[in-house]
Amino acid sequence: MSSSTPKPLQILNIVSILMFIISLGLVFFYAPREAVMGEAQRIFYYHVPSAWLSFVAFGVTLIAGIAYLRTSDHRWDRLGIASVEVGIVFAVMALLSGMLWARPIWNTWWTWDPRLTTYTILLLIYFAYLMLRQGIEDPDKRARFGSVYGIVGFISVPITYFSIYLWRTIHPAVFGRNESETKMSMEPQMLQTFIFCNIFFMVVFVTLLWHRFRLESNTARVEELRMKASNA
Amino acid sequence: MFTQTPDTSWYMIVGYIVFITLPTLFIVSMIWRHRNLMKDEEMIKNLLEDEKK
Repeated sequence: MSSSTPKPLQILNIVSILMFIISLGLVFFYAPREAVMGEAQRIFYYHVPSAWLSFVAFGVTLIAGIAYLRTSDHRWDRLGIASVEVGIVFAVMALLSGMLWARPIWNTWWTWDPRLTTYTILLLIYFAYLMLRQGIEDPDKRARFGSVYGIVGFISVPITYFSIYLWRTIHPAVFGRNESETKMSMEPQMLQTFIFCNIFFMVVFVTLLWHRFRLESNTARVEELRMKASNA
Repeated sequence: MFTQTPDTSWYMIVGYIVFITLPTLFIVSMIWRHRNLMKDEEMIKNLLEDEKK
């Protein structure tokens, strides 16, 4: 983003691009076509990591919120908001791609299934986080609000994750306690592609989070300058 | 009974367009915000310099 980009972040940028190209190669040319769902099944390789990494992102916001309340260090608040934004990007990707998968498989774009409903509520909770934060001018108040909201808002994550085990659902379980619970069987090439895509998404998540955190730090610096200018 | 695999390619293509477009838009928005910040910083610094003079 700027010439002062730290070396590890530059490396992460390059690794992300390389992994993106490899992941597309694996998804389209290495993984076989699924016999029942056809090509739409390939959505799954990116859909699942985007969904669980959105949970991780909101988990980071939870940790950052707790850390801010304990230390009052604004860097934690910056990490919190950075993670919410990245999490929203991943969550919107998961939701839209899920709809595109559902149309040919469930014969509908949308259904008020427990997983879909709870996930939508989760997304709205974090959209509200961004909007409400913008209404608070005082940086300390804003950070305190963001921290508390990030902690309370995280309750929606386990509810969303466990919704498919708690209520009757048509959403497939990728991670289950046993094979019958997951309702999924994968060819070795599919599994390898799936694992690679998950690692790729983790790298992308860290890269985007780091960039967004740096942007937030720059914003804080400029905000401080602006205060100085208005007081002068 | 043998059933033919349905042609669901269109959904896959749109799905991957979504996967590529959304992060790209996010990256573009970060670059745009960064540029605006740098412009603001420059302007405020100039203002402060002028005040000193």
